[in-house]
Amino acid sequence: MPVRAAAAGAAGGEAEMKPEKRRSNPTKVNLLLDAAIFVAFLLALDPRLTGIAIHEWLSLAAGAAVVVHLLLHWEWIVGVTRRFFGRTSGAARLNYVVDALFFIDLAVIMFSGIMVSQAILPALGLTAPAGSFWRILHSLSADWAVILVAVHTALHWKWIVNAVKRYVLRPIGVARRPEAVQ
Amino acid sequence: MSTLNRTLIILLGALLVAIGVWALSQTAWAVAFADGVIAANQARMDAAYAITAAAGRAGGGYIATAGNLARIIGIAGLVIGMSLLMEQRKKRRPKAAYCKP
Repeated sequence: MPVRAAAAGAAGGEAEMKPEKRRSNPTKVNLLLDAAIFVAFLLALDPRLTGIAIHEWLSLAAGAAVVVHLLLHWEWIVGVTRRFFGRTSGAARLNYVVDALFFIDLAVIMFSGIMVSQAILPALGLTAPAGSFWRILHSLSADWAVILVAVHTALHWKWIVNAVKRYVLRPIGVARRPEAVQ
Repeated sequence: MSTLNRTLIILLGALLVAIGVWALSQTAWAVAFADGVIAANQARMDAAYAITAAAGRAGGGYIATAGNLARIIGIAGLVIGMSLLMEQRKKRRPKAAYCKP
């Protein structure tokens, strides 16, 4: 039982004995989600490595994870959308433009991917129209996504370095040298 | 605004992009564009095959993941390097003298 819950129970009796809900750390959640999206994106970029079925289902899962990523950054999106032509920093504007292009590109990848689907649509009993235009668009938009993911990562480089230091490297260091904490 | 509404807005945005792309796919330009890219790809593949065959090697077996990761790292490195350079320049630039109005 968490210490806070035990203390509350001792002070307030039976009604407060319930363990307190642990609040998740937003930075940690973002880091984990972003790392998962990045790995999924990298794997999905190479259908010859994963096979078509894994490529499609993994891409769909990554698409859902991107929606969660957007939901987690909703306040920022709304804030910069409102201030885009008003008072906001150049860095925020640049981020916004790159993110908007990335969103459009991901939507094109997902839609063209559905149009040439060989696993998901047949599994649902549907047939994709296919065609060379959709294949080419899927391939070109994936090439653009590589560039955009690189720029998106670079623009958040400081945050990534700080979060990795705090939630990956420091815990590893502490686990290796527990006496340093005491 | 609830999470469901926010999710619907995001999906609506994606749907608008999809409708735009669908409309584009119905034009004559899309067909010409696809044909052009196919012809260019074919020429590039033929050239690559000729080089591989001339070197006496067999093609295929290429895994793109490492190449993609290298591309991402390369482009990200370039952007980070440029931003660091710009930051340094900004620091070096002498500040304009402040005059009290």
